[in-house]
Amino acid sequence: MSLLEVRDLYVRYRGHSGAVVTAVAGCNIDVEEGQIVALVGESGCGKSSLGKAAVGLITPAGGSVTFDGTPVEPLGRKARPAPQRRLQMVFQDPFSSLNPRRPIGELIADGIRVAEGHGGKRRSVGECLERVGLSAGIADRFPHQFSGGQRQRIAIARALAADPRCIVADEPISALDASAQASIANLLVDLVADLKVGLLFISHDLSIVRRIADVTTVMYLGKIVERAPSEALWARPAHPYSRGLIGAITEPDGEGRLPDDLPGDVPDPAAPPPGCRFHPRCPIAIPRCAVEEPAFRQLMPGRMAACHLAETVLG
Amino acid sequence: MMARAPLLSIENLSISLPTADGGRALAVRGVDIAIGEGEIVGLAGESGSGKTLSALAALGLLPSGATTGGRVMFDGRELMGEGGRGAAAVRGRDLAMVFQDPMTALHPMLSVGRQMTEHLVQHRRIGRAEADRIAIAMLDRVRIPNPKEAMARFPHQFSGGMRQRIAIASALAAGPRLLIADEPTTALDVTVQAGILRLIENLRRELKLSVLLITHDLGVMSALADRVYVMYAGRVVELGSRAAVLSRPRHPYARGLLDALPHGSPADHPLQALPGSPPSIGRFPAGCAFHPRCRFAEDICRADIPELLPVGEGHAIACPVDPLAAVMA
Amino acid sequence: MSDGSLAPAEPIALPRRRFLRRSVWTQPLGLVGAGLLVVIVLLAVFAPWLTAHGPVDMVAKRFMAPSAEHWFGTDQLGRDVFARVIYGARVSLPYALQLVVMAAVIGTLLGAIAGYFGGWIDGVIMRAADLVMAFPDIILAMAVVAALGPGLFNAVLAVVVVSWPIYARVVRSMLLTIRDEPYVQSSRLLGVSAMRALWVDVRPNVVGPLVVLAALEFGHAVLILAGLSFLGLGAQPPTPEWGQMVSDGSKYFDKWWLSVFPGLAILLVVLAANFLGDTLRDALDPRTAKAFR
Repeated sequence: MSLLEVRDLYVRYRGHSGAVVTAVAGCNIDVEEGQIVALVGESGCGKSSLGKAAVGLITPAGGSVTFDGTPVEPLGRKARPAPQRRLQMVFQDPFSSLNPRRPIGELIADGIRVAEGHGGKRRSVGECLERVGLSAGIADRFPHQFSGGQRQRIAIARALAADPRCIVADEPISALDASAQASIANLLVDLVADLKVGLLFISHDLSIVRRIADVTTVMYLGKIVERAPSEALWARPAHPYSRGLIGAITEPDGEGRLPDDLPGDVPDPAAPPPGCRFHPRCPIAIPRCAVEEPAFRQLMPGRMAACHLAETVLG
Repeated sequence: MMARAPLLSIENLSISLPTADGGRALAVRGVDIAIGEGEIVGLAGESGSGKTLSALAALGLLPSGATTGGRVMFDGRELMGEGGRGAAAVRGRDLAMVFQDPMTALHPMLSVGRQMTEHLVQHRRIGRAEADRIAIAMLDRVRIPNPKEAMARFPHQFSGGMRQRIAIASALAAGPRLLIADEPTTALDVTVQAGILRLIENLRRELKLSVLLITHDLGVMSALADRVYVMYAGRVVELGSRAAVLSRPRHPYARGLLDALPHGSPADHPLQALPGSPPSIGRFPAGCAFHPRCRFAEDICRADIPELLPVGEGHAIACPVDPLAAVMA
Repeated sequence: MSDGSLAPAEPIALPRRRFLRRSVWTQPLGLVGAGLLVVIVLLAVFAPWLTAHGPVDMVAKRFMAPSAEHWFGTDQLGRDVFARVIYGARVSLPYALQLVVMAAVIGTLLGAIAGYFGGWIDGVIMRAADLVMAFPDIILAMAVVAALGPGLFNAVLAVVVVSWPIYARVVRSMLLTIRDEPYVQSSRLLGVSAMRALWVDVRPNVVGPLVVLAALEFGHAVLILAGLSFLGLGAQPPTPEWGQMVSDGSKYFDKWWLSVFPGLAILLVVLAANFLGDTLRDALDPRTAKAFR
């Protein structure tokens, strides 16, 4: 039983023209405590929707989410059930994730109240701020007085104040500049190691993910296509899309290497291709791929992929 | 450095802007940039570095209220200031620009064909049929499928990557010799970015196009640029070949930028964040603007604005201390 | 700590109530508006001391043109027009204020209920709002007054019926937008109930725009009350109400002072309210708020 278990999750919503879009089409995720699981994919793959459904901000159309043994209830009008409050979220935009009209001390105190509620470790506002590298004295300032990186630290402090066991971070560093990205990424790694929380790190940036995540899960058009320990994925990706994604990354090494092109466009999520969703762009697609959707299966211990030819790709 | 005279030469450019409280502040402070024919030159820097403003000066697109110093020469002709009609003609014909967000760079209510041919018909005085042919050929060159049908469609009917290709085609339709690309792939997914970067490289080869590539993304810089200028607080702090600047950066800022990026394997080096943040216009520290964040800062750094001094073949930095000399040279 | 520069970044002018009052004093139009309103209110309060005669006392010859003795002349019953205009403020202003408050309270409640519950409740309330807004406001107000009977208080009620929708729409739409903001979602994840999140997170962000709306609506309220009184449906004689005075005066066209002065009073109040409202709105909008540093 994992700390956070997502099983066969479906998220649907109504798109622009009224068509139903299946943003998440049957996905499984596992996060253990003290583990950083990365969920990577490009825009439109559904990773944000998956993250929000995992914490209960969106109601899934199918499947289940289990946190610490109990099912996660989607948020309604009532207050969120107390045990679920140990599953927290860090949002992407540091400028809208903190209420501009409330001093940050109050925002953190909200989290501390939660920790008291479940008899967890109760820290003071000052402690929470210091834990994320800020000084305790800033508690009566307002969010707009801080930079993006600092605000993200405050948001993390707020989530931590609740003494969570698991955190879902939805693109927590994408909106920051490069040096802030590095420091926030480091902060998250420290916190996971220190507090043994589980972290689901959602991102489109494979390079950062490679540094900090234990396990990387790759998502394409609503489906998980590969899951493997991060280094193993980088060294030998099993799924053609993972391979394409890794090949498309630019390295700032002065070598002048042009990244690999992945031909074609991401299809409209409202009308995904039949069979394997990636087949129209896949360099090694065979006729079977257009007809039969590949199962997400284990290739070797710790490595799973959804590709009929995974063994060949792995070589 | 360059055998022939540069195509675009920015000389001692300075730009001052009005500030919110009624004063003025220098946003660009004495910048020299040279781009040769068929060369891709990169301008790297974070926000407030002045990189975009420097490029806009060449195009005459500075915000109202901006005043400039120095000069911008294109193929021997002065582009800035009192260039008058001559400069405007050069700009319209020989220079073009693509921006970061293709959605706002393309007119949402005009068809692709219309947008692309409009200025051809106006400025080059070509007939509509001829302009259409040029546009279709350019769309084909940027690998838009079914270019003839694409002409009749509208920007919102294309994906982000396609829109950027259309923006590039539109910019190149009149046959410019220099393309200024301001963060052309920042808003795009990494696989789509790869396609655009390859496209730019192909266009450079096929059309002998010069490119001024402005980006904060050093990976993109590394893939495309032949030479790189690193800007900080309105000045160039390091310049050199791609290999020199990106694999052996000598200026502490450039070094710091690269250290903050993940590359290589995890064991290689830990992510090292650069402390503090870049100063905003009007609040540049005295002397070397980077000194408050530099762990090698000495008294001279607080006092004098450093000049660019050579440290190798075609490689120069604006740092009197040169603390990384032993490590990098 | 890296990236930990703790000096506050340049302060961005984010709207806060306390801050607003300071800023109004620096913008000329807002200053003018506020000043005018203050003057008019003072005039209304000190009316007995400022006027030689009462508003209903028939003290002089009829139809006297403005003179040193009667600054605004006298009306068809020999009453001092100046006194009637000043005392008229005592009628128009409080009733307009009462109207705005009632409409704002009712509109806000309905808008909040619609936004919070959604579903059919939202549908019913919004369709009701649409229905009301579909009518020209003065026509609908006339119909309501006709049903209730003429009188100033009934006129106020009529205009409340006609004006609540705009508050409801604004509050509802702000509520729906703010509800999806990450900072509200983050509170919900911390176990705050929807109702409490409404109060703690949404309310502070709604109050500002509501105040602006009320300021702008105040001028509108004065105008519509005057309109109803002009039509004989609002204030009844001998109550000095500006609209009614304009109406009476319009019968005697050549005696221009009978309509012009009360008309000017209406104009000044509405302008002042609009200036103030516009300035408040600009102070509130983070984009234009830069001017208020």
